[in-house]
Amino acid sequence: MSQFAPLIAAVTRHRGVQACLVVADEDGILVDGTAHVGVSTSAFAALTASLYRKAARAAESAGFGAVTYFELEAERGRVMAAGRNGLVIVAVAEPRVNVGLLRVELVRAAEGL
Amino acid sequence: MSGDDIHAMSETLAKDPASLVFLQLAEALLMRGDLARAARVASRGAQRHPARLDAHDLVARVALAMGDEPRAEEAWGDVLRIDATLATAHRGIGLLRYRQGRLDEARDHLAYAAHQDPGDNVVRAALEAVHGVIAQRDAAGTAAALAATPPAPASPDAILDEAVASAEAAAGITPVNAEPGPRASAYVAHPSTLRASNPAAPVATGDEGVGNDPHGDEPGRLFDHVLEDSKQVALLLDSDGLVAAGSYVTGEGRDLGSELGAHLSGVGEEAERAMRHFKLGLWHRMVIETEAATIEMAPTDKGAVLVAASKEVPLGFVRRTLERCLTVARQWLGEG
Repeated sequence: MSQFAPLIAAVTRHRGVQACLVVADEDGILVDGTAHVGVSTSAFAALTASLYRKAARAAESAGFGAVTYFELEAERGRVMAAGRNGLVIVAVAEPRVNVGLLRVELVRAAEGL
Repeated sequence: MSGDDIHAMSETLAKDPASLVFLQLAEALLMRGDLARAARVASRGAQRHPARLDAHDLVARVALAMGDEPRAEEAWGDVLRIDATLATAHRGIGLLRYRQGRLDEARDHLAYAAHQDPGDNVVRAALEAVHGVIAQRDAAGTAAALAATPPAPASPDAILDEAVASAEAAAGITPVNAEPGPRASAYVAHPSTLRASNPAAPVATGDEGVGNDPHGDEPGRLFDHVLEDSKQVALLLDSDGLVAAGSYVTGEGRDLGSELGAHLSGVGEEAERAMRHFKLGLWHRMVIETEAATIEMAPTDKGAVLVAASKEVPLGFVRRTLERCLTVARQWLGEG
């Protein structure tokens, strides 16, 4: 069991979470994670890391400091992420997920990265 | 281009490092936002094929996307050493010089690029802006020589911004839409220093119809009646990431709207691609929380609305502000 397993388990136990991954934000390499059938973890890791990195660059360009949380809401789901120390913990969830609770969980999990 | 295509090109290049497929591969990686790999592939290709202008041009464009202006400049310099007439290199260096405020050099490069490609609106607008700034600078110089105590000159950035605004108005576009470089990151914009363009804006009544917008004819103040305090700012960005309405001004008077817009526009495009890949449908809201601020963004038909707020502002309130600004923007754009 990896050191990230407890963090991932804490996130995936929330109803509506389809995948939870720990990803290196610089290159999108998957470090650890779990996903329901049908979610391509490596592609998911690469794309979300790229999104997170771009968001971080935009925020830093505006002098807002480091990104602590990122969320993308779409018609059929959400991507939520929180990062620290070059790693990002990412969750993909159904629209019905309790956003507030999952956000808190991800931010807390990021503190353990 | 799919990941499989990229994989196939990578394999081709691995088998034959002299292959010119590096050009397509680096371009594809650049398009996907995989800048580090794009830079590696382009640089190795340019080293292996030093006489290829397109290789150096690619290195420059990747470097610019990474915010590495000196590297971009160096690569375009390589291009011009091989062929001093290549318009794309003049265009690139001209726009860099323009951003750096080196106006005379910018004028020379841009004039050449505009001559080579008269249909390039970005170059044309930048050139017009540079001409305007140079005229102002020269006029200010003359006035300074005549007056014993001339007024303090405006900063090059301020002059340039003003000129750009004039060019925008004239051409309907903004000439600079590149990744902000060190100039942008040198400014610290803690949201406590944010101010809306009209700090005394009235509290919104809940009816955001344009007909009730007291500033509807001033794009910069489009959202003033929605932004209820000075801890939030709102911008309407067009599909190129240019600020179409709203304003974002720091307490020091620095306008960061165009820089933030350019960056976040790229994030929006990336989000669209990612959501398509994951089959999650269209994205309709993005939240970026940072150490100092919350940024929320939502797409319009041809752009996006973003709200930036101090961390003191509750997340739900920021979302509410975004929804109201979105309503105003859609009505203003005739999308409502």
